[in-house]
Amino acid sequence: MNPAIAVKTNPKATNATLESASARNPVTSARPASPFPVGYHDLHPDISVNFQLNRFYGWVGDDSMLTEMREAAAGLAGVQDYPAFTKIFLELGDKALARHEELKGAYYLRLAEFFLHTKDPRKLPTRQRFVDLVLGHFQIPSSACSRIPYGSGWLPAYRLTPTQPTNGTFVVFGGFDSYIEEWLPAALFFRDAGYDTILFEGPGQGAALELAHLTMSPEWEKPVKAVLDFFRLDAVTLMGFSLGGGLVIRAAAFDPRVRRVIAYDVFTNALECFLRSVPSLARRKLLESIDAGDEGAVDTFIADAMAKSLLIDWAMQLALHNTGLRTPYEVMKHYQKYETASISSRLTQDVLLMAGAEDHYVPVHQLPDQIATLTHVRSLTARLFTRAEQAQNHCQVGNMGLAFRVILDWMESLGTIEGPPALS
Amino acid sequence: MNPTIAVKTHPKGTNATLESVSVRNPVTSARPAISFPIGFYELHPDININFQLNRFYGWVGDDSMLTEMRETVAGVNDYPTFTKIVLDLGEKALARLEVRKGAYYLRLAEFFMFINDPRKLPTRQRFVDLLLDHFEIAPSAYSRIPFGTGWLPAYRLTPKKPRGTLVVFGGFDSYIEEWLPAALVFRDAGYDTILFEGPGQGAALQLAQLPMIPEWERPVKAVLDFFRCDAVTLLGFSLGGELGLRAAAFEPRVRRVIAYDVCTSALGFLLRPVPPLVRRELLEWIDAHDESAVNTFFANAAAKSLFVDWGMQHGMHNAGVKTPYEMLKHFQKYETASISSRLTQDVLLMAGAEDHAIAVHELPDQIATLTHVRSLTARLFTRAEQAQNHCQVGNYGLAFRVILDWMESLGTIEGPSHH
Repeated sequence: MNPAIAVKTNPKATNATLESASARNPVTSARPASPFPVGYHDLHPDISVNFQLNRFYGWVGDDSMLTEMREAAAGLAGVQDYPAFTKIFLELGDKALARHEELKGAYYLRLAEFFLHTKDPRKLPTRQRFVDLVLGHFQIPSSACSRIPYGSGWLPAYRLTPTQPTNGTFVVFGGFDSYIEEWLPAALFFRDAGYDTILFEGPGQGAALELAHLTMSPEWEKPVKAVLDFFRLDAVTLMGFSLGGGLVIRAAAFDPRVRRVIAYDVFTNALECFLRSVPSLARRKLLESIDAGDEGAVDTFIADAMAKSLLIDWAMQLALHNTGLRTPYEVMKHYQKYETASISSRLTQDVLLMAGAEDHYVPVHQLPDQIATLTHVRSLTARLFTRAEQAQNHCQVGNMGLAFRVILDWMESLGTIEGPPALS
Repeated sequence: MNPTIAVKTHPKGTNATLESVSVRNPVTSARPAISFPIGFYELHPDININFQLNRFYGWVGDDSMLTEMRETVAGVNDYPTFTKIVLDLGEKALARLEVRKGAYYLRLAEFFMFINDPRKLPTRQRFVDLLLDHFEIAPSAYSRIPFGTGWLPAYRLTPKKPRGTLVVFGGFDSYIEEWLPAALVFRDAGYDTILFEGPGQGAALQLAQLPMIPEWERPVKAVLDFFRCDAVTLLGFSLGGELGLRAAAFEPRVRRVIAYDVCTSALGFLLRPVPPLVRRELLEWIDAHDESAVNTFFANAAAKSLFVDWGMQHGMHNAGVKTPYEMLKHFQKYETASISSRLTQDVLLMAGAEDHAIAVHELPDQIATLTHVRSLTARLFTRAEQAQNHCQVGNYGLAFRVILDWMESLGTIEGPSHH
């Protein structure tokens, strides 16, 4: 292990009460613990709401947040009530901020904002408060921020460069519903491990969408090219998280300056993930309607599903917003293009694939699927995380520290990137 | 990395001339190299002979061995001539007191001897004795573990302050003594390293007359009982990649499992050289119990190919059966699909992207069936790393580094077993 990695042990992390009955001896690294809490908690009966509570708690690691969320959620249990939910969490955020619990307050605001509908007038100001709070908290200077010209707008980027000579450049982006500022605690971890860490948002993400009005596009090599050109980089490790696990494979297929690729997690087929909660018979019918171009049938089906489920309603509104499209049919057609099977054989890089054994978005078979199509890579490492590690969920929410340790170990095991880019 | 790992850099290892035109920047570890050479060489036009030449060279790492093999056996295709030449190389090396090289030459010659060749057993024994002496393995490190009507040989190499126990066994055609250079690396990295041969392997087969069995949890149980181990990492190489998963499915004292490499089915590699259409026909005959069709097919194939003849003789000998049909029926039981869901351990799967013995799809296949593991790590090695072959012949050092890193990343084994 590189001695430059200075990791702080959060006393709360190792003492987290593991509530899952099947969690026995969570895997602990032989190396110093990372400052992220260990444990996936049952805080809300809805699988998706519960995931988001754990996701944002994971960046804070303050036990009081668990208590507060549990109490707040108790009042909501059984009621799929996003307006009440957002109201409670906005209040929790403001209370925390009044007590100067900045990080907790910021992530409460983000949690509330997450469930606000795209048309809610509170959404953009709340988003901005969150961004400003975490930037202030982590003392990110404005000199670390760039706006990279892109198409009719710009892409936001943060560059966090370690003071010591670096182990290489690490470029990171998110997925369908992330703001890259969320990821700052992790970025600082990688910076402190000696990596020149660049975070950016591509079209359809965060500020690129909300402020620069760029909608999402499957040709992810384009934003990656813009970022690498802007910073004049010729050999990087590229990582995408969540939907980014699919986008990163796409970008690597077309940009030889990407020398190492991390899919955190694998995401071979966006449509399959988006339609995961639809029963299989109905899903097959829906896919047939999409393939047949039966716009009316698709729109009717989705409208019906949205009326019945706040989650589907929320997700479809966000997808329409991200893509700038007008109908569910157009959204489906659009996300059908987000697949890795057609381009995976082009990759000639070192690749790390990650997956959660109980990911509620990404079916676990997408891990072997992705391995089977990466036929020309330079090397391939895959890691499946489980409940025993409290890392069984999407993006290893519950034990993000373990995920980051696996990423660091992988980057270190390959050594520094040398030589000219491989010809693809 | 743990500072107790003292690894020496072999000066020749990093200077190996890489002959494959597609080799660019072989992957080098950021950590000190283990003393194994890097590079898979084209020494012989026959894919199987070439593999065996590289396999045994990989344990020696002496450039002169490459030159000598190239000069003497490059054009030789018949096994008797090949064996004679390589035995001769072995004797010459030993006369020059190049013990390690000489020993592996003898093993290479012995490998291609047929089962009924009277030179086979004595040559095998010379190889074993030479290596044990060369690496100064004390007789006290050796045990004979009672098993059924015979015994299993085992070596235990214990460091001063063990940080865990690693138990290793081989596959279809290995002698465990071959693996001693690797075992010493793991011992020096702080692992109490136990090597053994199960039924159908090495001395257990040749001296204790135990034919191979698919129930690999039985020999593993005997070894763990004998040494009173209650929490170990189990590593099987080659066909051992199948056997290790089988053992782990039934033995909770196995806490971590390494398939080096994955092998989801023995028939998969035994029938790999057979064209797909013919393979399907063969499998149909096997399922239909058409004994004579299978035996006739292999009698013809063996008459045409020394490799098939050798493999069939060897397989029948290992399994203790008399006909090709019986042998295939026997090895049909060696598969992981039916037991993989039972594994609850930490699992490391390794594979070569251009393994001539094991189809690369067996890696995703194996991942898909390990539905209840504690954690799963998979590593596919490629030509760019010179580790694309079966068991990473061409870059053993990288394979061992990946294994060590994986064991270290999990820390020491703690707590009671899961079951």
